[in-house]
Order: sequence, then C-alpha cells, then structure tokens
Amino acid sequence: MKIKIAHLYYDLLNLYGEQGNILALTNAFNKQNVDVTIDLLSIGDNKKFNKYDIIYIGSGSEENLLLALNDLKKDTQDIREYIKKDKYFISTGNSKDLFGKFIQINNFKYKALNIFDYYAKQNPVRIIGESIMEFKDLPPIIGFQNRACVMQNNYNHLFNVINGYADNYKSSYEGYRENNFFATYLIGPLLIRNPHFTDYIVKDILIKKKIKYQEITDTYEYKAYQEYINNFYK
Amino acid sequence: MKLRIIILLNKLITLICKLLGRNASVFPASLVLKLDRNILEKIKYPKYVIGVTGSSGKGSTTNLIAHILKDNDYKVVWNKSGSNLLNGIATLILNNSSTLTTKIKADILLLELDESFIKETFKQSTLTHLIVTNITRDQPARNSTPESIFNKILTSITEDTHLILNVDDSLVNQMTLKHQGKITTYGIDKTLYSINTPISNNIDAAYCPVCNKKLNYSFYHYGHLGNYKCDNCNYQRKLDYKGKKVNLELSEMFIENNKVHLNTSVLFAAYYTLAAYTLCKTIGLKDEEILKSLNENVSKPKRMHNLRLDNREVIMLESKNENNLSYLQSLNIINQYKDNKTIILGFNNVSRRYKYNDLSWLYDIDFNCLDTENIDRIFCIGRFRFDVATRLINSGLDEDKIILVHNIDDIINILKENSTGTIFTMVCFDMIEILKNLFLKEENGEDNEN
Repeated sequence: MKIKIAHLYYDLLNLYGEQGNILALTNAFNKQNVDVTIDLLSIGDNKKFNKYDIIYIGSGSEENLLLALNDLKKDTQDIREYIKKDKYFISTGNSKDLFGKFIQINNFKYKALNIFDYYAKQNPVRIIGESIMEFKDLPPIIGFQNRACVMQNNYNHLFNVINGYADNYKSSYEGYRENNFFATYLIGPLLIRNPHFTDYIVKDILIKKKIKYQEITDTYEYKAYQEYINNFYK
Repeated sequence: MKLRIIILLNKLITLICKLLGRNASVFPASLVLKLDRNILEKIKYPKYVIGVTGSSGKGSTTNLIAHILKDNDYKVVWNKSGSNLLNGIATLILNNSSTLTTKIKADILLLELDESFIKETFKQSTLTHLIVTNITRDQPARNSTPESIFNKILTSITEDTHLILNVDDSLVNQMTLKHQGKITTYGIDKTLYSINTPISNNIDAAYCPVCNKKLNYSFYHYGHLGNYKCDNCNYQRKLDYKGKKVNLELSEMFIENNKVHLNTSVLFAAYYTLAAYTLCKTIGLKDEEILKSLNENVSKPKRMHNLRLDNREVIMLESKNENNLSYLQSLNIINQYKDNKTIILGFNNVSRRYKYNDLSWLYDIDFNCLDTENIDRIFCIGRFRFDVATRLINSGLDEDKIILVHNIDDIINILKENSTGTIFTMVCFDMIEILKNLFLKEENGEDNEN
C-alpha cells in the first residue's frame, strides 16, 4: 500500500520553501511505516488527478500563477470530481486564488477555475506577516503570509484568525475548505512547522484506508513548533 | 548656493560623527536630504557612474572592479563600506563632491546598489552602466518575488544606461528583451562542477519568457544559472564575454583565451571576476591592464574571522539567511575543506532588517551537500535550533551527527567533549559576536592559566 502524492506545478509554484510540505507529508507517512510516491506535475502534463491520494500546490509569483491557471483550466472538471470524492487537495499561498471565480491583478481581471464562489483582488499593498490560526480543537496553526491579493466572498473558511491577516481585512477568517480541499494563504513549509496539522491529515487518510495510525510526537518538528509557541506566543 | 551649503554640511556632520566615534557612512545624508530630497540630481557626475546590483555577489563584484580601476590609476569613488541604500550613497557622493564646483572628485563613481532602492536613490538616469549579477529569491518578506526585483531594476533605469548582464541567469537575460539601450552580456561555459539536473525543484524562471514553454538546460551551474534554450522559439543566452575552463583547485579560469586568477576558490569568484572583466573592457580598459590587476597585483578577498579552540582552528562565516543560493555558496566554502570538521549553524533572528519570522527560505536551501563523511558533528544553536535540526534531518543527514545546544554558554564544553576537527561557524549576524566572545574568553582564560 502506497500513498500517492502529486506535487502540482513544482517548477512554477514552489516559491517559498514549499517543497518542505512534500517532505513533511512523506516523513509523516513513513513514520507510520507507509510508503509514499511523489509525482511532479506541471504545464503540459497529463495530470490524471484521480489516481492520487493527495494533491499539493504551493505559491508563486503572480506571473507564474497565471501560467499555471492557463494550463489548469482544462482540468477543472477533474478537480471538481476529485474534491467531491473527499480526497485531499492542499493549496498554500496564492495558489488558492486559482480555484475561485476570478483573479484581479495589475488592473486586469483573469477568469479563474470557477470551482468555488470566492474571488481574489490585488490589494493596494502586499500583505506580509506572521499569522496564528485556529483549526478545530488542534493546537494553534503558525505560519507566514506573503501575497498580493485579498480574498472576497468566502463563506467556507478553513481557519479562525487568532492573530495576523485574514482573507481580507474585515473578516476574522482565513482559508477555504470544502470536503478535503484545504486552501490557506499561509506560505512556506506549513506542514513541517505544524506537525499536528499534518498528522491530522495523515491520520484521516490512514483510517479511511483501514491502516493503523500511531501517534508519534517525540520529533524535532514537534519540538520546533513548541519552541516557537514558547518564544513568540506565550 | 544651497547645493554648496548642503555639501559642506554633509562633510561637517561626517567629521563630527567621526570625532564622536559614530558611524559616519549613513547618518549625515539622513539629515541633509531633508533639506533637499533631490540633491543627488544636482551634483555634477563624472563620465562613468557604474552601478552593481543583484541578489548576491554585488559587494564582491564592486570590490574587484574598484581594485582593477585603482590599480590602473583611475580615481574611483566607491561605497567600500557596503552602505548601498539612499542615505549611505548620498553621504558618499556629497563627501566626495567639491564644495566649490559641486563636481564629484573622481574619474569614476562606482556603487554597489540595493536592487530594490535604485529608483529611490537616483531619480534620473544617472547610471551610465549597471551590472546585474543575478536575480534570485532573496529576503522574500522584503522583495516578495524574483520577478518583482526584476521589475524594480528595469523600471529604475532608462535606455541611457548600458546594462552589463549575467545571462547565465535566465531571469536576468529577460532584460535583453526589454531594455532599449546598450547591453553587454557575460556567462560561464560548462565547468567541471556543472550539473545536468537542478539540485532542487524550486528553480526560478524555468519557463521561456517569450513563448512560455519550459526551458531546456544543457547544464546548471547552481540554482537557475546555467545554459538554457527554448526548443520552441530559440530563446537562449548569447554571450559577449565567456568564462571558460574554470578550475577551482588551481584558482583560475579563462576569459577570451586569457588565463585569469580567482582570488577565492569558489564559483562565485569566477562570476565576480568575469563581471569585473566585462565591465572594465566595456569602459575601455585593455586586456593587459585588467590581467595585470587580476593576476599580478591580486586583490585580497574579505577575510573570515579565524580563532582557535585548543589546537583546533575556528573559522567564522556569516550565514546569509533568506537567500538560499548565497547560503549554499557558504556551505560550499565549508565543504571545500576536506579534513575532519565540525559545523555550527543557527540564528536567533531571521533578518537584521525586520522582525518577521519567515522560515520559508530554510526549505529552499539544499543541505544535502553536508551529507559527507568528513563532517564529525553539526551543532544547532539559537532560538530556531529545532527548526534547523528538523531541516537537516529532512535533508537526509544522520541524526546522530546533530547536537542541539540549548544554552549557548555551554557550547565550548560541548564542542570539546563531543566533537573533533576544524570548527566552522555559520551563524546569523546576531550570533557571531556571542560566539566570538565565547571563543575569545576560552582562549584568554587558558592563556591566564598558563
């Protein structure tokens, strides 16, 4: 039994250390004695999303985001079906803008994949800073944001914002969730820095596949998380 | 008249700062620019005003150009202190301008320029030449994306500026598509150290800027620098000056069939030497003049701090957080020492410019190069020691080699008891002094006992 992961646009949307998220998932499954295969997918590839257990997509420059958007349009229906099947689709950083109605940037409105009702509009200033979020009853999620757009019309949020930027300045929510489509503006190795969040996903996948899950928290990832909380949020 | 008063005032404030033992390289202009924000537009510039910018290597490139020019009896004003933002540059320019004629007293003004602040520094097209060393992901909390740095550089010059471009960098090469003025390019041929596949999947500018097809690389030097071509539209690098036969063991390379000495045995040295050569040729220096300065009157590179712990050498490097390729270059310097060694890594703060704790860059650095047998131990120190240890383990390094130091005061004893070999420290700006003092205290303590 192998878990199949796709790293989508690994060469376009991989700007802020986000390949760390693939490492985090790989390690978390390996710790459970479960093997993982990683497929690197990008422009022009026949994506065959259905064969994956997890699809991951990270952030990139605005220029690269639009290249990815253009390529991904033909796969819109496949993505819809993938999400309906409760499979995991994890999007970090500005890649979440792809799945809404449109992206308005540099005074131009680009039609996005229109899978969800939200849309993204360029903010007058770039949004950069630390964030701490609440997700279910897990310990807080830590991370960093570095993005050009704000998100509007989002009624299906992923996180409550404890501290830091929300989707837009008015709301207290961040991210989007539908079934197991998880999208957040948090960038970087989010899944490395929040091992409890990664294990939440890993556990859910393994239980559904009737594979035994064992809680293992004596790792440097958990220690790094705790040290950060101790230094900056206590 | 006002201009002369401001020049005089800047010189006076500089003098007072020096007398008080304060940093005089930035502060004076921070005051006098308040009197006239556009003062730099009114100064009379020499024939050549040369800027050097890019994500890394601009300081080394500037230093080497200054060396060649001075060695050939040019009078050069340059920002030796490395202050590359508006106030530092304005202080330098005003201090080197004649109060009487308001003219810079030099043949050449040579400036290392922060890539994000060229526009803020010079409102008009003051630069006659601008070298762009590379554009890579760097300080993302400040620079956001490499494309954003690209746009900032390009919009800060006009067609009057002659660009000198490192077109091994596929992003820098895009300037050849947009700049209307003169361009001279340089790049390095395949070397003994070139690789066929990128070290990591995270390379920048991987797609053709003309037709959006993926670029086909015949080799990579590092990061996204190498020889690439678009198979669809033929977009590729075209070299005016080519570096060849780079041999780091012999500290040499060839430029236009001339053997050139490298003052440091790293690939970065080949780049800054080639950039300096290209610039000097562009402004009319002869081969023999440049070669004399590079091969005979060799310039010394920036010195590393060297200390001792017992009979072990301690070599202190500064870690370039937030620039994965610079950081990797420092790791390569450590890797060149083939003998047994111990490495100290870590940081208390990510940046000296801001308080953000963005750790994304840590996962853009390739630490696999430390997976070698001649590394005895790697010590992780500072507030982010667990994050650094996590990163190292994620890179496949042996967990048994990694030692976390929770209390920095214990590090000397732990080093003595648990490690062997030459000690390399590669820590952030805020930990260098702490470590240096601990090593010096130990050294002096031993002297006292003796």
